[in-house]
Amino acid sequence: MTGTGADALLAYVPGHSWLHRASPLPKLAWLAGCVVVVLATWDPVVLAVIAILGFILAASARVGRAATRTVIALAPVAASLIVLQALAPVACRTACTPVASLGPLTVYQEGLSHALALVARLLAMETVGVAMLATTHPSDLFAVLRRVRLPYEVSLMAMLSLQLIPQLHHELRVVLQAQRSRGLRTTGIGALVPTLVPVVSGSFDRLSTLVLSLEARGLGAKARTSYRRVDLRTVDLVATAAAILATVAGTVMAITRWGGDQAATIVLPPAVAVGIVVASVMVFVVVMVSGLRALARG
Amino acid sequence: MTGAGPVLVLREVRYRYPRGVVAVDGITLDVVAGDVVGIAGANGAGKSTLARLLNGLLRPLAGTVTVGGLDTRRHEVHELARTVGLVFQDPRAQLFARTVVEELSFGPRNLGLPDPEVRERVARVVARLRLEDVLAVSPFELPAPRRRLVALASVLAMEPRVLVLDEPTTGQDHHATAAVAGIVRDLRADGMTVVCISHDMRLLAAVSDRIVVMAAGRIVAVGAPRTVFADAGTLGAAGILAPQVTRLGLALPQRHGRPAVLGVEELVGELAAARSSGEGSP
Amino acid sequence: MAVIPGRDAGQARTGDPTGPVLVVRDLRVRYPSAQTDALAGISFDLHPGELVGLVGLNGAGKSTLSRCLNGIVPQLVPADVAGSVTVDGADALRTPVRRMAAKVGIVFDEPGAQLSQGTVGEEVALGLESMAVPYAEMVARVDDILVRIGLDGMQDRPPLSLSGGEQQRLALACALVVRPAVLVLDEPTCGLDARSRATVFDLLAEVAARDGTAIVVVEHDVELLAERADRILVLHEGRLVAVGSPAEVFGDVSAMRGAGVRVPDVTAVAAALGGRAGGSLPVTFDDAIRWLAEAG
Repeated sequence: MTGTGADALLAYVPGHSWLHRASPLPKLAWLAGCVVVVLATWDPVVLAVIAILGFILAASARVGRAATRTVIALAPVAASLIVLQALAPVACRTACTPVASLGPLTVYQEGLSHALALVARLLAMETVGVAMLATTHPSDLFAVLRRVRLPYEVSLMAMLSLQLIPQLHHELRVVLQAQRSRGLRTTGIGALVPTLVPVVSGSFDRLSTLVLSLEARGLGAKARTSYRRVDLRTVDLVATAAAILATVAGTVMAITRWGGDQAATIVLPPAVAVGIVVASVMVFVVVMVSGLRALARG
Repeated sequence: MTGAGPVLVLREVRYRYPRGVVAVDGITLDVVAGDVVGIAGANGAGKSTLARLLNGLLRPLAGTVTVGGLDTRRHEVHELARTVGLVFQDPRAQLFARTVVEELSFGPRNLGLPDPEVRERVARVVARLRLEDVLAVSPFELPAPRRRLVALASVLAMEPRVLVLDEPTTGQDHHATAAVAGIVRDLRADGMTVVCISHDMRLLAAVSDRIVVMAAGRIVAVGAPRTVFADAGTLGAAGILAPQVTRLGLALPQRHGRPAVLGVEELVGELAAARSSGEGSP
Repeated sequence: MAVIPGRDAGQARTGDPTGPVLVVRDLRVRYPSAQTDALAGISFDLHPGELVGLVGLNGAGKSTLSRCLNGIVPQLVPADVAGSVTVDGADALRTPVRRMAAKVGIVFDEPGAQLSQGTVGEEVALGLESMAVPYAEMVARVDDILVRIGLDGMQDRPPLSLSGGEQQRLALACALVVRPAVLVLDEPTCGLDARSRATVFDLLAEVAARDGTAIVVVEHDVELLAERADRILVLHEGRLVAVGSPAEVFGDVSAMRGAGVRVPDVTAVAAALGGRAGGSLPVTFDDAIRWLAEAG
């Protein structure tokens, strides 16, 4: 169990940049605002700008690496989005415009454009998300949420879940090692039960002990103080207010001028369109395979 | 399985974890077939890392680990499982089946053995560990000591040449610990090679042909238990203590210069004999 | 490294004038759908500053007893109970477990399973937060306990990044920071090497002496208990079959055999050589050297 905690704080990357030192409240507010605006617009240019700004923010806080890793981690999702939407678009205003054919499959312009916009949305949220979350210690995050009246139980549950993920990951590695030592080959469906059952039952046992430990330490008392304190200075409140204003303004702009609906369709030459789809398939395959390989190696 | 050389050969083995912690720093060791080797050392000395190097879960970054003639760097863990069986410290990491029989059959099936052979091997290990009465029971419903036995049995069912036990008696009471010691002695009598990693020095004293003491990833002492346990300085520097009865035997003035004892009966025998022959004196 | 230092086991701590801090009377526990009682009528007292070892075979009732001391049994782990457990005046069986937190600290044998917070500081402060301790005092107490426990300066580290031994100490710190009257530990030296085991008991002795905490330790290492504990309680099949100083309890070799409890090696040696008439058997290393010198 030792050593898993280093990555226990999921997104958090320790550091001393200006963004690290900024209060969690305005960071959260700007992130929330950004998500609202991103979801309000389909304009790929606007989304791309936000994504790039997010990346610059992350880089300036020296968490550019974390941002890149997140983008790569979500690459299979993005890639599958592109492939599926391009080949089988969900909806077209009128008939869908085919752009090119790959044998039995047809690449549709609206579908591809829609997918690219979705991917741009994803990227925008990822980069800004990483910039804000990687520079905020989860404990500070929850402390500030509690100050704005988030119930203690909710923040506790969220904190526990954060800790649970690396614990589960560690458990999975140990169980895989134990079963491989009994001759298990880690590919194929036969590996599922012998791997998952011990992890689940172990987690059950550990969770029961945790519950007992928390109760035995008095958790659940109504009146409580907080060890983790986040001071809210005037500048933090101003920054938060600015975030709210920017969000409102951005949303209004998004709805009125930046294509609040699936207005603009990017028109791409056939070769480029096909290229994008094929590249997406390759990205998907490569990332999935190396991910599974890494898991099997334990 | 005639002794054609040692069954485990480690040469200058080095291993470092990804985050830079050096766990094993130049280990050279031979284990002869049929020996029981006890591995002792403080927490963090590298004992568990060594266990995982023995069955290929970890591959040495330098040096070689050869088990039954196979280089662990050139074979998959599931291939090496035929030769080396590793029993993990926590049985919960392994147990998953609906019944004990299913659990015990898992290993042999993974080795690709035909069903009749699987049944035979399971029957043999059931008889050895006296698990007849719980065959149809779920391993999760068994009390802790029995669960450990099932985990041990599930590895033994693969009939490896070498059995590696990682802390087999943690949290066990004295009856269960004695049972494990008995099993190790039986296995040894049947020619199995056993590597036993433990904090329980009394257990190691009771079953080991040789003791290996590790500290900071290196072997600081290796030899017969009597020799190793007598070296209080090395043991102390490694953060461990010889069994109490051994230390007592070494501290008694009337036994000065005599070899270390490994158990209560032995010391009692010596002292009683000395007393009756009028040797002992304050 | 010298023999594990410890107090002379013959000197059991005398009763504290302020009276017992833990009083257990006729405690019976039966789990649902069980055929027999897990505990069949246990009675004993614990005084401030006492370090008591609880021994017995697996299944003898040690865990059940330790979980009764703050009400986990029967409140969180359902069971039929009878009798009483009183800690510092509070009825442990009926007072809500979270209210008993200020009086009883409990440390389970798997330290990693008890850690859940983002940082070491928060983990330790959890108990104090629940008691609504003011901020400044909380910070001071957390810092103080971390220094005492040997985890100084680690306030901001994630608990799960600590080594196994450090996690154990952290779990201990979490229980101690609320200054409980009674501390219960379930196999705290499980999986630890000799030096770490001695360190844990050094810590416990210091806590007992300095804070007057009464400590119950469930343990299998009888040699260590003989050296360090003030009293030993032996459970066998749910009954308390022996209570007394280590010398009294472990010295009764036949009773221990009946209860399935191993006696320290030195005691076994002395017993086999034939105890002197009217004399008691040694239970610690130093006692044994002296005893054997006299026995001739």
